[in-house]
Amino acid sequence: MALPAIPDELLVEIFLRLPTPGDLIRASAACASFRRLVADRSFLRRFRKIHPSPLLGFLYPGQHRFHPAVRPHPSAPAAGAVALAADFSFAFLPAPARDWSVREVRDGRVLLDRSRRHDSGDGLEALFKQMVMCDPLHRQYLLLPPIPDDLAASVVDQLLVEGHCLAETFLVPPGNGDEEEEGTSFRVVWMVLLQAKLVAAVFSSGTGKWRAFSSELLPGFVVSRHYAHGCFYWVSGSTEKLLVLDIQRMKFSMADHPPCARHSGDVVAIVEAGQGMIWMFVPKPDTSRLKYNVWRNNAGISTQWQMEKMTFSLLQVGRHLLLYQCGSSLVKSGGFTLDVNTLQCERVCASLPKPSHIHCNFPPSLLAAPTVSSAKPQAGVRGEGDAVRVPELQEPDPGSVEVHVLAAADQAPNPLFVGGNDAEAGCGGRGGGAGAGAGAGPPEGAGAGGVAREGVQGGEGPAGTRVSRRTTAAKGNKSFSWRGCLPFWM
Amino acid sequence: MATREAGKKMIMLKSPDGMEFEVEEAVAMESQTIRKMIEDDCADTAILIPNINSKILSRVIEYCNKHVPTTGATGAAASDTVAPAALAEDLKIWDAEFIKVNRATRFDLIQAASYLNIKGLLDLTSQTTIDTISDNSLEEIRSFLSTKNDYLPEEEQTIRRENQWAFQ
Repeated sequence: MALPAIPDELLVEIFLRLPTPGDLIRASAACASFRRLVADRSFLRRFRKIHPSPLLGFLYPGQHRFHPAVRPHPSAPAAGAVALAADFSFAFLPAPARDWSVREVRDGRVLLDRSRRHDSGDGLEALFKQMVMCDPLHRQYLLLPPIPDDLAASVVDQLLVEGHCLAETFLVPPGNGDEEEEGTSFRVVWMVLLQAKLVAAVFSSGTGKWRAFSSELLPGFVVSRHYAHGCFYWVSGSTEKLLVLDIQRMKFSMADHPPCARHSGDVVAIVEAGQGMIWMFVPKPDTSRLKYNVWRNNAGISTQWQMEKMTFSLLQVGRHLLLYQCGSSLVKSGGFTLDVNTLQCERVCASLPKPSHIHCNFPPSLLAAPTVSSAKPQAGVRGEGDAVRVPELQEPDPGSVEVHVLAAADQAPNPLFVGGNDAEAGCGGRGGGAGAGAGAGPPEGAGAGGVAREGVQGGEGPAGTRVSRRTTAAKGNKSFSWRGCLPFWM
Repeated sequence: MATREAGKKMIMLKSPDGMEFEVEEAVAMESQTIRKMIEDDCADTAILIPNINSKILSRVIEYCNKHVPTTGATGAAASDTVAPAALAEDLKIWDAEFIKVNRATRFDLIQAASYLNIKGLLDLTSQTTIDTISDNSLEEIRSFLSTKNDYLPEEEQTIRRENQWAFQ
């Protein structure tokens, strides 16, 4: 019996509802007209909007290695294809590839940076690195222009007064409102938090320029950065307030902290839950931080989330809550994700070097359009060979001052949570302690953070751990420490 | 002619084959398309539903009647006595019975749900097709969706090779 063909608009409705990218690709392989429907740009945009890109694995920045999800994880075949097709050694970037450090991974893009060639020796190059955005699947990249001189100078002036600051660069997820956004457009925020001011600039690939924006808000030191539902949240030393950046308006504000106590070294997580809810995980007092209270939307409704008898440390990116399983014989080791809506735990891969970036993207197919356009460098982007001027410290005073450059790293790309003491449980993954240590420790010295990081990284990676150098600077003999808390482990 | 209950606004829906259905406004508004018409004041007397015959329209109304939230004077009493979980379970069983229709009817229902913009009905009616695509071979997908393989053999080979991960 020959059945009538199904109208295209119905097929579109059905295809949009297919649960996985693999189902869609198989449907498109049935016949040429199906493929035409699926290949349509507006269809692909709708599909990607309904279906978040699947978690494919982890990017371990220390070795520029990708750890794909393995069976029985549903993304395993797609992750395997990505591992084959993409270049996570970043050999397509301006050589030498090993100079580049991964800062953040989001939506198929990877943000990396490296020191500019011209090193003035004042320790500031860590603040003003050369940044590149790339798409390792399509081997495209875009060099970002340097931070505008006037903005850089204002930061340096204040830094001279204060002696230390926190700096972060991070990728902004596409906002909810900009659905028409082109696939290759992205934004990056560079932010420096000083005691007396908060300086930030946003780079947009659309304009090819940095735009400065600042805020009067002063949250004090920040401990970790999280993203959920259109806003970045910084957990600070204060248990009263959270610093918030609305990515739509690019405006900072303060939000209430859940009404609970928090130890300075505590690892917390803020994640996206369903229906626009935001959950904040805070260690329950006196439980060795193995159990977490969940605070919803800061509304004070608390439900208990038990970690059972396992030692977990947590890392979160957007909708994923990542669990590193450490030292329990009950469960296979490896990296797990926890779906915060169903509380179902899923094992992604067997070995998970920590810290690692979560890599979510569509597998190579119609669905994975390039995310970065290697258009000719924007005006103002300096080529790799150019010496780039880094603002210089003036030396009005001969007093010798020691500068500790605790280059960043301590902060996760997106948060990071790693359980301070719990992580000691012999999982080899205690680096995270750094996350908490970064902001909480005394300004001088690396504190626990630096130590922990070294334990994890085994000293590999270019910078990152801690750099001390002697220099002369203003302000007499005042001890002077600069803390870069750039978003990633190097 | 349905009897008019006190305090409930009724809406007349007409199918192209001349049948008329009087339904409560709340039931009709399960359809986002009709809701918009009512809110825009385009629905004084009767709403003509094009392309949906009376047989399918009556099934759609049956679905909306079952799924309209039980609020209001009579509904509140009902939901006070029945636990929400039990209600949801009951609805699931009802849905499973509702969707036991032949293939042609199912696609007619998908079309109606799509035009009338009734998300729950669209999800329910397209689920079988989605399951078929998820769980079956290309041949079975083609036969279920009444299409023919019109790729050249080398084209199909290329697609399979380039998207090997989707066929594992």
